[in-house]
Amino acid sequence: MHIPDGFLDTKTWLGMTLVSGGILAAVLRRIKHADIVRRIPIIGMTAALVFAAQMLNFPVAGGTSGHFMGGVFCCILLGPWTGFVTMSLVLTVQCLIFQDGGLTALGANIFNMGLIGSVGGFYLYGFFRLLIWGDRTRPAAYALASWTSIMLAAACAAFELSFSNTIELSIGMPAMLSAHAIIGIGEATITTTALMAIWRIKPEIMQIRKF
Amino acid sequence: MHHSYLDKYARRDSPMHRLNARTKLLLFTSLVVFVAAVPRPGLVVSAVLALSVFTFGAIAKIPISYLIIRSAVIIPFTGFAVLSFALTMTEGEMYWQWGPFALTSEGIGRSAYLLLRAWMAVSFMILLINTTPFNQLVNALRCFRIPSIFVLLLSFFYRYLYLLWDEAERMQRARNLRYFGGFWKKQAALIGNMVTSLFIKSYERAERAQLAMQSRGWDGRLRYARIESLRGADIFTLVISGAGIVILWVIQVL
Repeated sequence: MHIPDGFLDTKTWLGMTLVSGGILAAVLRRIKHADIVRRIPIIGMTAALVFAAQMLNFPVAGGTSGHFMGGVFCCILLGPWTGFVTMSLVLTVQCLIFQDGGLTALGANIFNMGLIGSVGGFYLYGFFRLLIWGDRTRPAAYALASWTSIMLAAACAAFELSFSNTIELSIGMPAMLSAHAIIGIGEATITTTALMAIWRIKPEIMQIRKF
Repeated sequence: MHHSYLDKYARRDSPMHRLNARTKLLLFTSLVVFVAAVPRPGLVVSAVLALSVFTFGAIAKIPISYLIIRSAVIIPFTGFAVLSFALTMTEGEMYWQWGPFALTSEGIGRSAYLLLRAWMAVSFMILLINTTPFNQLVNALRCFRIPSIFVLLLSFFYRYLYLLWDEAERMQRARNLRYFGGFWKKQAALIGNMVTSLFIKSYERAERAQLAMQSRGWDGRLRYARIESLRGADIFTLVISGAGIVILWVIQVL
């Protein structure tokens, strides 16, 4: 759901760039005073990992393929705001090197996938864990949070496209949601398998201090 | 597609490559912003912009075929959007209709504009990344008030990107040798296992890197190469292209 250049009109992309840029700047200012020296390698490495994991395609119905987004994955491992910075890094490099997502649409893409899809997904996970407490519900909470995060990000993209008068909401919303409902199942499976395995093999990673 | 394909021409030599990274960043960013800000470019403006893609390509000695093939990256999203767009517009002259779908002059015209804009913007970005090595680009970003911590993270990320990419490709090749398809949900779970193994490896690698950096006495700052000052050719390019964009904008508004 990386929106390319030319699909958003000026008011939308300018507004989204200001919103995402402002939030990112505020988060970076907070991280700066915290333990920057200690966390830079792991942030950079996780961003590279998410980028590499997005290369691994899995087939979706009808000959198309989907790939991992990883927003909820890195927010749960690193903490919501560090995860947001990580996703912003991934999206920036995808835009600059890969031309996946446009330069003017970068703000909108960071908002959809970094903020709504990742930080939003993290708090959804917290909410699902509150509903049923205990380790047995971990897989269900991971799966639900990552599937919902994909749907929320797709819905945001559809809203932005209709706000720019590019694609009408009545056409864009069902198309985006139905495509991403299937991709979301893949995302949920990958996120749950990976997080459960990390929790089983190296539980100390899940218990590091997060912010 | 292997990753060396992405910026295959970044380290060649041409008048375009010799320009300062800041000049190229400013030039191509303003072109992309111009393309994205003009809602419906006229015939003259579109022709000039499309021509400038090929002119810059020729100056930088980047083959046209490479530019075209690389810009296919926009097809999945754009193709889907353009098709749904072209088939559902009902204004204008009707050519064909079937149920809710219709092919009209207005629909074709607007989706052609959409495709053209997306293509031009992506071509300018491909030209930028293929004339400027990434380390120079990161260095140039520092001059445009991008927070230094973000630039630092970006260069750290880039340092490990291709390493992990190769590792992911190797794991995928090994999986394909062992495994020939099957139920797709099982495949997604397999990717989950690959992500786990990649994450644990890279977590340990990050710990080692951090310990090594701290024992070398790292204080949280990266030392970059000095930023070169703008030369005559840079100022000339900036003035000419700035004037060109203003003229195009005036033509568009009139």
